[in-house]
Amino acid sequence: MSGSRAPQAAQREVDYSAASCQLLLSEDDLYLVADSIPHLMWVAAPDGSIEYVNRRGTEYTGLRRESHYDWDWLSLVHPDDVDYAREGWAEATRTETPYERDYRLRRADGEYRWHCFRSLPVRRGDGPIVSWIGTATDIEDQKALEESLRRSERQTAETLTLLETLQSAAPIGFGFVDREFRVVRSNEILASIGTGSPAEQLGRPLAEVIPELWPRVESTYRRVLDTGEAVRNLHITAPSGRDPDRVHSWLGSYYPVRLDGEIIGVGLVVVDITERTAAEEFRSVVMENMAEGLYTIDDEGRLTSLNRAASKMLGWEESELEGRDMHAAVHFQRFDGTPMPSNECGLLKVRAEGRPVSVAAEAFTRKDGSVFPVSYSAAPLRIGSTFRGAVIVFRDITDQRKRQQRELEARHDQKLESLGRLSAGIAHEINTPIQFVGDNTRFLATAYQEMLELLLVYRECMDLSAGEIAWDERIGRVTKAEQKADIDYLASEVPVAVEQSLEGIERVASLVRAMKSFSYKDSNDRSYVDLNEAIRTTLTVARNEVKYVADVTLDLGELPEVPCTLGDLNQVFLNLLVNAADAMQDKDERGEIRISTRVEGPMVAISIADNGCGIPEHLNHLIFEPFFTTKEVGKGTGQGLALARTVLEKHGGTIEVNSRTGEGSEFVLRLPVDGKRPGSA
Amino acid sequence: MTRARVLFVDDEPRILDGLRRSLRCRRGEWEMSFATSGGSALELLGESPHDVVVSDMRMPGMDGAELLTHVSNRHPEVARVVLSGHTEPQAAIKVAIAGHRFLTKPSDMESVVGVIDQLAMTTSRTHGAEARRIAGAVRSLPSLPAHVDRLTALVRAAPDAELASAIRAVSRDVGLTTKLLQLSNSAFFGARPRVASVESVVNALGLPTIQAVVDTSQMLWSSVPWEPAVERDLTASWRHAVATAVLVASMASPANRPYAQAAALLQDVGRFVCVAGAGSGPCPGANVMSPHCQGVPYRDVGVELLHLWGLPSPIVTAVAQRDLEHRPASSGLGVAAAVRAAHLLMQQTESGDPSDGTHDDELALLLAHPQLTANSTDWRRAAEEASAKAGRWSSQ
Repeated sequence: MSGSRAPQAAQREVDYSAASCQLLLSEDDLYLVADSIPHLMWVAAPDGSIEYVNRRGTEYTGLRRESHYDWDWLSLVHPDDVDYAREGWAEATRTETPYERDYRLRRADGEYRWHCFRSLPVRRGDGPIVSWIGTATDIEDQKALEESLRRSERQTAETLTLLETLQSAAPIGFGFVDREFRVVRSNEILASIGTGSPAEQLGRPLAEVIPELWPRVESTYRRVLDTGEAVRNLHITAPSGRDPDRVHSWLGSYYPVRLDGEIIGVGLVVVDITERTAAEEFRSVVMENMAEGLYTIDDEGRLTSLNRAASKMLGWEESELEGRDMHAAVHFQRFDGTPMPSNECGLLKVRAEGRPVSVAAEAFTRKDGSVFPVSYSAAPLRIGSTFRGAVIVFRDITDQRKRQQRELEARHDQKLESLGRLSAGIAHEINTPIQFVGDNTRFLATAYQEMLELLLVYRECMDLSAGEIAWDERIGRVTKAEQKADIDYLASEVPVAVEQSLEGIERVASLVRAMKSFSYKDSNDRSYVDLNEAIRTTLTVARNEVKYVADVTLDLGELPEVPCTLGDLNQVFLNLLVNAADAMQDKDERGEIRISTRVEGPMVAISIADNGCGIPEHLNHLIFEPFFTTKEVGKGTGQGLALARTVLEKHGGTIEVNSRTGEGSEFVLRLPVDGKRPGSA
Repeated sequence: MTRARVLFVDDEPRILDGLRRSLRCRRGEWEMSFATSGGSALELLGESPHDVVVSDMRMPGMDGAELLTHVSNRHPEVARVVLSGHTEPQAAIKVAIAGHRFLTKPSDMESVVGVIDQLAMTTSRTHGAEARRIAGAVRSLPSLPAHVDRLTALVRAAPDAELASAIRAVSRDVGLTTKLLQLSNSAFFGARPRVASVESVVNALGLPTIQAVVDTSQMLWSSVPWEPAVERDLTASWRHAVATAVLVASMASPANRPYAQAAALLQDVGRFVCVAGAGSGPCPGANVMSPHCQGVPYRDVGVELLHLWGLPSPIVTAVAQRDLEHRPASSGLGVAAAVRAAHLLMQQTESGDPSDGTHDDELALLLAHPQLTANSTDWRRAAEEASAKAGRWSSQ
């Protein structure tokens, strides 16, 4: 757009020249002058019809002078400018004011060139307009210059905007320092390495802006200035000024900035690679140091990466497996050697459905053909919106299996251990009555023999067929026989011997009954159990473990029958009883074990308390751990309380301990009366 | 003859009642008393002299092992019998050290009577009571300091110790051999061995029990320092015993071999007891040069010990008769004569002990026995080899 010229100034100019022409020159002279000026010039009537066109006008337009008067000048105007030109002329004639507009005019060769059109109304005196004098100046070159200038300004502006945008938006630090290492330019990111905002840093020496870092980079800046060569990708790790708690990693490049061949400073491009470094470190940890095996596969199940642990476990190098079908390489058979078809492979699901899977026990095969049990989990690897593969993390569970096996064995050992200890005690409990029942029976046999002999003497004395025996004689014989038989002793001892023998037999019988009831085999199913009876049974069976060290007091309340696994609970009672007895070991006097039962709302509570050594407070949380024991080697496997807890949990119950060192321990078991875990439906 | 005084101790009165009734038939031979606790038993023992105490093992308060240990200290002349219904061999180790004989419940009357009758008698004709007192105080015998390391290693190796190394370690130790033969004579400690050899005993009792026995015996002695003269003397006596045992193994008939070997090894056990002070401390007046302890010959003490501990009678007899002149019947050499022959030959090989005489004629006669001439063994050469072997073992 032009229109920057002032119409008033032009008007004054034309008035002046018209006046001089009238005074000095003839009409022909004027035409001559008009033809010689390097502008198009014409004279038009008030209605706009052309009366005169100078030579430049005819030459430029290629129209003949004779045909001036038929000119439809608008046909020469560029079609895009016609309306503008017409409207201007209409405006000028209506207001009778000078007219000035720029538009394109067709040259004879058909090219349109920009021209500046001016028209001045010519009046006679104060009368009406007699004609319009117009000029058209070729401003094409000027326009082009303007255009190119505008374009280049625009380019500069664009470049600058881009630079500014980049500076602030790109995750890159930009900057420039002068030869004295003062900050000339610095964007937000670069500034954030140091202290203060970009504006605050401006003009300050780097030694102040990055005091910590400066000693490490100064030599680089100097080198760039000295050699004029760029230094690229220098790795720097340090906490940043803005974020002093976190160590950042940067990659910095330093360029010499030249102006007219002279280095005026150092340009700086810094990339913060903290995230990338962290990601790389993470990856390196995963790939190099993670204990679990990890590999990734592509959409066709082929290996794309394998970490070191996986390589070690599988016996394959990453390079050997890369690009190979992993199912066929390591997952083709089960632990027992039977084939593992690929359509049953859980990884298929991951790839097909994009769902993560977790598999507890399968098997991988090593390079050497050996098989090992694994648990693995796999998750789809998303690239864009499609699943392009999977990442698989696995673990060799050989040890875990062994441990489980050991735990199982230990649990079994514990049963055997308590059974062994129990059987020794039971043997003693049986051996004792057997000993005295045997002794008494032997005595009774002797006594019977002696009494039989005495009886025979009596019979002899009473036998009339033996003839007359003097009464004195009879009394003498009988008295002698009675003395020999020690009849008074027999009379007093035999009934006691019989009684004690029967008692001994009952002792053995009741023990055998208790053992049967206690027995582990038939009581593994859940049934309604009289817990008081179970406690009494256990006590009978374990009598020998307890009787030497403690007295047992029973305070058994009325209990409903509770559904539970009798064998397991007997085992728990036994373990607690034996522990209570063991707690008395170092006591001087006999201890006391108190067993009480009662109903507490929906629960049955069983308390087994002793006044033994107690449990040191720091061990309180350990006692239910498997294998934890304070007993000497051979006295316990440390499974007793762990087993108790397991059994109680299985029954929806609880076990807790209250203990004081030196005062004793109380174990409280709680079992739900209805056999259901409280709170569960 | 006075009646033997026997004390029965059991916390279960029914047991005592039963024993009283069933042993009433022995009232002519024994004077019986009964106690229901260790404490009252000690009281009774303090009030009147006794010959034998029969005690239960597990009792509230003072248990059997504790009681018998007290008895061994306060009344060493009282023979100590355990009568217990407990079956765990390892738990019985304490009592195995404290007791002389071991009976299991239930025991029939004959076994009880047999053991008590045996223990009511003493072996020494001339020094019965004194020999009993000295030998009775012994609970276990010390090992030579040179053997201690190997035995400690055996205990430490549990449970990985090898049976063979256990047998080797034990079979060359006088004290442990005696103790294990004592224990093996009862069903109390598990299976009974077929023959009275250390190998058979170790196999029968099982390694854990052996280790426990070794450990317990070691603990009793670990703090006792040895005087150099005593150690020298007992080491020499040990070498002689081991060499004799090696030699007698080829002299005795297969059936007699275990007894003969054991007897040879234990031939100077009395010297061991007295010189090392295995009883209630060193015997006053006992020294390396003297064959007596408080006027009692070492041999009488040793034989009384083997008797108290219930070792098989062929062993006891052979030890008792080692220094007696033998004229074996041509039908068989017998254990005692074989041990005697090996002992004399070994004595000669070791350049003799002049104080004991040379017994050349008797040795020649023994070596001419049909059993020893049956295969043309050069016995003197065999003796030299046995001596060399014992020398190697002693330096191991």
